[in-house]
Amino acid sequence: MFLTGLSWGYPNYIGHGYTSCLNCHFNPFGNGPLNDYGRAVSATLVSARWAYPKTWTEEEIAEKSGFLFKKPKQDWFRTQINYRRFKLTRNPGSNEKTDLWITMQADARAIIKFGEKDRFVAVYNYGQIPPRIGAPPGEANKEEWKSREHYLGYRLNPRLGLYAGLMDKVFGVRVVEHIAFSRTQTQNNQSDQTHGVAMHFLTDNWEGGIHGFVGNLDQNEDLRMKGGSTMIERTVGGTHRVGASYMNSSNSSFSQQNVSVHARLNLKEGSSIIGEIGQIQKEIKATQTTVDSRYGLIQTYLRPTRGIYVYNNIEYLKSDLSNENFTVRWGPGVQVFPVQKIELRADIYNTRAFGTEVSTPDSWVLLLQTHLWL
Amino acid sequence: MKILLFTLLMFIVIPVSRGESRDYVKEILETKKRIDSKHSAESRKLQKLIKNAQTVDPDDFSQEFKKLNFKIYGLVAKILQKIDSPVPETNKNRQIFLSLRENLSQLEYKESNVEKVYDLIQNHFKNLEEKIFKGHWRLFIDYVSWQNKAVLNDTVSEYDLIITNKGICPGINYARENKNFSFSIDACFMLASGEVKALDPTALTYSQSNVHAVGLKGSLGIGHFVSSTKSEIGLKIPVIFVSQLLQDPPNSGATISEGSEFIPMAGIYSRWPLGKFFVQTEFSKFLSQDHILWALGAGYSF
Repeated sequence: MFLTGLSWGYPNYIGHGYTSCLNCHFNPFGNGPLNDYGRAVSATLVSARWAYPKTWTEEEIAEKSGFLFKKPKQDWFRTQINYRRFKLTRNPGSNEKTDLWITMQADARAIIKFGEKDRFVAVYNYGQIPPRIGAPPGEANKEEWKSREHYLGYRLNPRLGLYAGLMDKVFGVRVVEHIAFSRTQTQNNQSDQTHGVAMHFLTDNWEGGIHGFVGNLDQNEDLRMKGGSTMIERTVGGTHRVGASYMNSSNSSFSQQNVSVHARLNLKEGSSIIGEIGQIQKEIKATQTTVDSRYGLIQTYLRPTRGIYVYNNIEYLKSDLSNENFTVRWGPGVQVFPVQKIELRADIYNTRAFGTEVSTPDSWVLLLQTHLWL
Repeated sequence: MKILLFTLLMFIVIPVSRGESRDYVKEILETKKRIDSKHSAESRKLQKLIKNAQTVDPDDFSQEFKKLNFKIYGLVAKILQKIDSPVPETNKNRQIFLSLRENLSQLEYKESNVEKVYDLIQNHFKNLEEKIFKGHWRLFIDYVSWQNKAVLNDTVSEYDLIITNKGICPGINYARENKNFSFSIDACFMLASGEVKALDPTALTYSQSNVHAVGLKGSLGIGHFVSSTKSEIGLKIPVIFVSQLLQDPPNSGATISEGSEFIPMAGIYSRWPLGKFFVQTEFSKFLSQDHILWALGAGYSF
């Protein structure tokens, strides 16, 4: 199992009325560095305000959302630092309990932007690649530092943009949980960025993109997954989104096709439901064997008060449609933003296996996480 | 105006004539006396125009008359604010308040202040209304899964078995809810099937497949609404009573003791209304075993 962590992109903020990721991120499909507006939203709407004097206005709090709590003095250059570490406990409360501390993210980001409405952006994100849990001995704790993403973006107009470089693939809902089946099975994991060119469009009711990619050029050529993907969303009912995605990619060993449909429902004041269901076809070229699998994801979010989100991750995976076995992972959790630039998070993951003559004790994981950013 | 004020006093004095409110009523009476003594003609004229739906020219009325009316309006508002239980919009005190607002509106006197006071009173009654608990019925169907244990006894040893169940649970929910909180009780009929295996497959080879389970699940819950759409999160205490008969291994002399039939739990639930429909989840832990039950469902609110 390659357990990875979380990054900064929250499609559940549709519950605050943000249908498009472009509102808050430089990458119009979400994830990666936040723009100034996104940082201000994280400081005000998302984070609690109890730590600030009552006399401070929201504008004053938002002004502290810049790098090192300062309001930028120029418009063309931004820097950001992200650090995320968590404690992973398997089988908590049992004799088989094991603890693991992992630095999941240690990123330094630089963004150059200029032109009207930041028409041109250049994003560079350098950081640590998290260790691969379950990797061969000697590799599991090997630290690796490199460019996590780097791309150039140019908006031809507010409705159309082109992006080229090392980026996440355009597919499905970019939920923050990289261990989600919807990300691991579709090869949209935390370190699955690829070099390519993406086109993004946005109209009053439609948003989407097309991505052509040649794999991560940092990898051996045999491993690079080359292909293309597309994702399209439509606003329905004024505040909700429904969408569909398709991806086709291959390398010298195997090819993979993903197809999915998804929905993001805005249930107001931070409450939302995200759902995605998809099917994957993998073909191993050497043996010409094909495996079809299916996954499902439901994320439910509630915001009892500003700064706190309570959620469920409910996931389904049938890794081979030709047999009856499937897995359900159920993860209630709480996410707290006590003050801007700090996120604390606790997740429980209960995994249950189903199938004919399959009955094994559930596996449990407790994840405690701290995320800091400047 | 006299009739109006008389009515006003009749209905305000009687229910709230105590403490601070008594002082307000006294002040209203004094103000009314002043209107009667100095502005009775204006008062009659205004009532006549409004009654006949004729246009009121504010310049035809003195500033003092307007000021005194505004004073009474404010005092009535203060009395209404003292009311601590909801009253319907048809309540006479509220009707009088609305009449006074209409008078001042026609007189075009301090209109923004008049509206602010009006909003204040409306919000006050809205808040009182929202504190009232009302009953709501819901029908739902959950996809539910839980694990349970059983024990296989042979002549020398005991072996733990684990049963993984999945099925459906259609049911009914009744809740007493106000704007912020919900107290609910629900019950559903469980129809499920389970797979049975030895907990330690190296010690025992045993399995049964598709073992039917029927049962009842009941819960008490307390919830908190966190959005204007009434998204809800809460705690619940479910209890399941389930019957699931496992077959003894043939020709071995071993017998199986089924797991608990009566299982109390503690859990969290959440619910998201989508119009009259809703989606709900539940995640509950058995109090006496290290197992959980989860449920994902949908339903309809009446």
